[in-house]
Amino acid sequence: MAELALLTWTFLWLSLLCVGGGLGVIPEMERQSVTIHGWLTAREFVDGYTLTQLTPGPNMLIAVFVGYRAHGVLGGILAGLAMFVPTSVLAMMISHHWQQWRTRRWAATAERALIPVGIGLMAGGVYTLARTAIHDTLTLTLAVLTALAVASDRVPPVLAVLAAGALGWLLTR
Amino acid sequence: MLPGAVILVGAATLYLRGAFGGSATFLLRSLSAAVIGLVLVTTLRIMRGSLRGGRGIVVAAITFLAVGPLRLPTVGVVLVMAAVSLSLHRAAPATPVTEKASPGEIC
Repeated sequence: MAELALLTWTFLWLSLLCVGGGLGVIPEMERQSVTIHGWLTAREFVDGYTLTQLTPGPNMLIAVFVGYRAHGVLGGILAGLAMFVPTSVLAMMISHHWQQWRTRRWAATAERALIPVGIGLMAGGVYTLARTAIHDTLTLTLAVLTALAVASDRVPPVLAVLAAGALGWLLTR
Repeated sequence: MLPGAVILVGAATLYLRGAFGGSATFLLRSLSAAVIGLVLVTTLRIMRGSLRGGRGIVVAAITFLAVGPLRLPTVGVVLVMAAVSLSLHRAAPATPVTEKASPGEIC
């Protein structure tokens, strides 16, 4: 019970760190889940993130994966609720007033000031995932090829990811 | 979101029972690498559309170094960098922003 409470509390406060989107919270989520609490391994974390990218819905469903890995279905439900409910409520409250607030100078300054922090967090998220996922020349090549394909806007992102996955599988099996 | 969560739990069950073992491991490793390419492009696009001026770039770079390579706690980094960024931007004139990451964005 105490472990479930700890899991819920951890994702509750992690959800409030989602400045600039879910990717920004990945470094802290990985630190908490892997290094501090040992709910899963770094490899499982990246694999879980990959599975969330391949399933419908936001990538922050990784919280459900971590919760499920740590404490089964109940852990998954609690981690998911803790991750999404507070931020949804907060977003509803803020967005309701934001259009009138943003014309004020303090709000415009706050918005401008938080954007670079959010972007730095997102870049940190990419780094955290890449640290485990990119471990040899092949994985680096697949990442670069996918990035080029997605950046070209000629290939749907999901197709690019699946094609790179299939290519890697064919080359290594 | 619920259908995605249900599908994910199904996939996680298979994964944790070792269904992605053997040659499927290579598939998942390759997909993970590909996902890095995808999130990298997404981040770069947001960066290109949102970052304006040297101050913003410096704040973003320090934040990245702190939470990425240095693995410092994000809470402390956000508090410090938000304060630094606020003080820098309060002094700086406003620059137009084309794409925004609002503070209350849902994950």
